[in-house]
Amino acid sequence: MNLQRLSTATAVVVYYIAAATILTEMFKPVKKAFTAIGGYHWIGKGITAVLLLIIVYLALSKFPNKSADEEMGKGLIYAPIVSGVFMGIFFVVHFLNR
Amino acid sequence: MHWLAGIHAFFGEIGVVCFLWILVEFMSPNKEGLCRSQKVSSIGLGAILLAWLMGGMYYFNFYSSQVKPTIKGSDFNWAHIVVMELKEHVFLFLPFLAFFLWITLKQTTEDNMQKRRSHILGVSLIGTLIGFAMAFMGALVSYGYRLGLEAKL
Repeated sequence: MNLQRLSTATAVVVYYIAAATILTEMFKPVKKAFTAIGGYHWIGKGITAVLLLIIVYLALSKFPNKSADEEMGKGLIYAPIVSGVFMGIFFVVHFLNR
Repeated sequence: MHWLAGIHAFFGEIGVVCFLWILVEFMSPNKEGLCRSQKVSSIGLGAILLAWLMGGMYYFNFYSSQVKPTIKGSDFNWAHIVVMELKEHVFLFLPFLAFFLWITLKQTTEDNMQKRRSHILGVSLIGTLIGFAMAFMGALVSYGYRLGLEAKL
């Protein structure tokens, strides 16, 4: 497996989980759509996240590698921090504004 | 505590310890440490997936029907609305990080481990921190449930 692509695809999935989480809280039809996939909205997110990882990885393989496999960048390290902090702020604000 | 929550926490902690193990090994990597890390990453990925499965079963069978209504109906509803909501979504990062680490370590050799060191260190550090945060949030949810039950009495 190409690690550069996997690293980028994993970072995309992490941002996707954060975006999907916030959208499900803000828009009920989005929550219903995820619930329809897996019974619970977070299972639906998990299933779609796995599919997205595969799709992004395969899509990235269409582009040639410009740098060495070792140069994976810091995207995957920042993604969980940015997404986690953003989701935390969202849930606190959501709770305070109820 | 429900037995499924206990098993969920048990596998979750094993997963966190595996992230931590890899983090420590890659502070000064060597051939033996790489070999150990490769095995530990397999165990870590398996443990995180089992923690996910057990957590889901606990949510289905107990949390959604008993814990969630008790917490939401109490003054400590923040334990579900903020903490549990954040926990169940941030947790989703872990299987993907564990999978990435497992594949990366599988493809790492003595020749390229120094070049990949910072990335492996970064991902294992993030995994460790998220894992400990999960344990802390789990404890907060339990605390909220306990307070909710006491308030009912």
